[in-house]
Amino acid sequence: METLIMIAIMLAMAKLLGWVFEKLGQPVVLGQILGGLMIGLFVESNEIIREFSNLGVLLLLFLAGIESDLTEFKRVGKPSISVAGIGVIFAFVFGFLVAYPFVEFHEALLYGAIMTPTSVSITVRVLMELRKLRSTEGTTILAAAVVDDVLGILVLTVIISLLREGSIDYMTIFEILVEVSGFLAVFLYFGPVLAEKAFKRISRIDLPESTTTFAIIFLIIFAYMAEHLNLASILGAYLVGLTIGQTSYRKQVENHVSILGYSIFIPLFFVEVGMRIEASYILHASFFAILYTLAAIISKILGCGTGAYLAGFDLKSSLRIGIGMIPRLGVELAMLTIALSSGVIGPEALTIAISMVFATTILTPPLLKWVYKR
Amino acid sequence: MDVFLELAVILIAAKLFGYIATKAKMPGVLGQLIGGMLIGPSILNIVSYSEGVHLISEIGVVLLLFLAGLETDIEEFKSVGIPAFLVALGGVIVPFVTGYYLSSWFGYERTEALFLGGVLTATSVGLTASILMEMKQLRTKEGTAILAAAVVDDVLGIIVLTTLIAIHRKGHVYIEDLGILVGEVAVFFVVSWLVGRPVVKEILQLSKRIDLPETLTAFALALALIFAYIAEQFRIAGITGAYLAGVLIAQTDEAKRISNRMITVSYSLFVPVFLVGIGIKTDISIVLHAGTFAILYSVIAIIGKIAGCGVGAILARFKPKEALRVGIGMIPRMEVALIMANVALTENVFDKGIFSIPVTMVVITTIVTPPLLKWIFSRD
Repeated sequence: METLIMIAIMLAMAKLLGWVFEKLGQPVVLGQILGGLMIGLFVESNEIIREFSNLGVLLLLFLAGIESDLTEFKRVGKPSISVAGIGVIFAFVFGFLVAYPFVEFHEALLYGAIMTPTSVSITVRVLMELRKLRSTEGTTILAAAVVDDVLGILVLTVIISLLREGSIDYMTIFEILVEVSGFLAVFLYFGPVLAEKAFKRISRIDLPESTTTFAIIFLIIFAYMAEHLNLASILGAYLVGLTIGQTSYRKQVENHVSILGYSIFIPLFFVEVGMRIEASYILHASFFAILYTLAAIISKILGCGTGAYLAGFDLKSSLRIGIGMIPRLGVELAMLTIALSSGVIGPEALTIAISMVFATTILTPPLLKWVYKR
Repeated sequence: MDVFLELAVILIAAKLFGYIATKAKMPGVLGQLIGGMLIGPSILNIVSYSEGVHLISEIGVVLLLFLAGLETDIEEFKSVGIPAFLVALGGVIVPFVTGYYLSSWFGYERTEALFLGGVLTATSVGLTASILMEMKQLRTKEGTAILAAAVVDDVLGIIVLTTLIAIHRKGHVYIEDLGILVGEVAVFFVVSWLVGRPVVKEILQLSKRIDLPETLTAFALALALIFAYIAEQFRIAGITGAYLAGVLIAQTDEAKRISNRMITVSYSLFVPVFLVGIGIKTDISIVLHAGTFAILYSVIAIIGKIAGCGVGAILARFKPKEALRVGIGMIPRMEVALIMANVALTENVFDKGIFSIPVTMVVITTIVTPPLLKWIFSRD
């Protein structure tokens, strides 16, 4: 029963502080993490709440997948691949290099991986305000975000499986790449058709919410399968979302799963992340955290900017796109928890990564506005 | 097994067996119960009911009663006040007395017999609510009467249990102690009604201004959980508190929207886990090894409620068929009865052997209710 009341408090906190941050023009998620930090001063999270929050991670990735607009991507695909691709490479290398002097080699790899994905929701909001979302720069950023999620998850997956295998040599890297691309290929090739058929049958079940339930079932099964193949569970969750997004059941499943996700599991996840932060680490990690944050910002501006420039944008547009790709939020935090649960990376990573998340999301809106006003 | 995988198996069982049941023109709920028994320890033993799954099922029953509260028509609810009281009273007295005499007749000691009678008083209305919701019969006169009677039954059950414990410990019961107990419970209901109504309204108003996804749903969920928690602090069942929260919210303008969203949240995950969970926890082998007494005791449990609640309903001028519907709806005994039996166990009134008798009764009433309800509610 205590857990139930804790969930109620966490939910109320998530929505209230999220709201306050929204009013302040800041990302909602930051308010939720801060709310968690405050709750964490009084009570500790427990095993069951952590399980709930893990389900939140999977739902978050599932929704990211189902929301990915592949048609938009096909239209403006090419430039976005080079924007996202070079951005991911830069972020990974910068993250790794900055972390390497401070931590062990294995950990540094994870620090690099965590830095890779972009969460463009903040950028989208600012661009909407500026009425620039439908510009070529805007659509490129949106499409790049899709590619970026996939690449980020892939990088993390490869790194985690490498670490699990224990030895880092070309053979293992090769094996993992084959596994990952096999998984991807099977999904993208057979997935949509099979999903369409499956859901057609499922919708005949005369019980309420059967399609939603089965979306969750598939989500769990493939997350588990990915985990079992030594890939990251979020890859499975994301791909299930992406696949269902290609079927005619997309709208329905998306609506209902997002009700389930946003009314309980996803806010719980962000609050729970906040509860895990130990205040003492914040002071300890300061120098590394600042360097890491700087690397996160510069790597995306440089990487994505270069990508955009190579794809034919002029310097100013490239800078805009680079800045638009700075923020890290949802997927990044999800990857962080996965990295933490792998055990390779220490708990202080949480504080460092979260300071980076805070800094990038808070700095992006003013930077974007500034670069658009010039 | 991994918790999530366990969850997936439970959900598959829920939909698969629910589907088979609906094809066989049985309530989907029955299929989910059977699916649970099948994957549970009694037969295939592929899921162990872990703590996380347990919490989901706990939230499931809270949401179920919350939804039932949301669907309650407040005018109907007010008009069934006296009938509900009579139904509950009949449903407590008849099973208690018959249970007591049957047990005494079979040679159980006085205290044992008293507790065996006491266990029979507590209806758990979750199962009935889910079946009536499935059949869209919850908003009928009978449906409302059952839900309201379940609230009264819950309160009467606490009084019975407290009295029995006092008699067991001290040999007698002070009327003042019971007075205090009744006073506390009354305080809970009065305060939640008078203070709860405006507060709930304010909270929902506030949440409407918060422009984040599913804020209203999240707040409604939090309210249901908080009411359940506060109720438990007053020794009332959590589900009664959740039901009350639902009734309070049902009177606000947001009721329809909340109800729609809540149905998605509940039926996609929490409620199926609750229903299959009942099946998983049901140990069929106990029923198979049950003695004559356990069987008779279960029969008394069923007939006692039908007769007691039925007579109460008839006194309240329900037609005989309506009275029968109400009586059948009040049959299921579940967590409240098990809690009572557990108290008797920790008070050393029951030994393990006697404890299995109420467990058998719970299993049998659970299995018998869905088909009976479906039958009586689909007859005109």
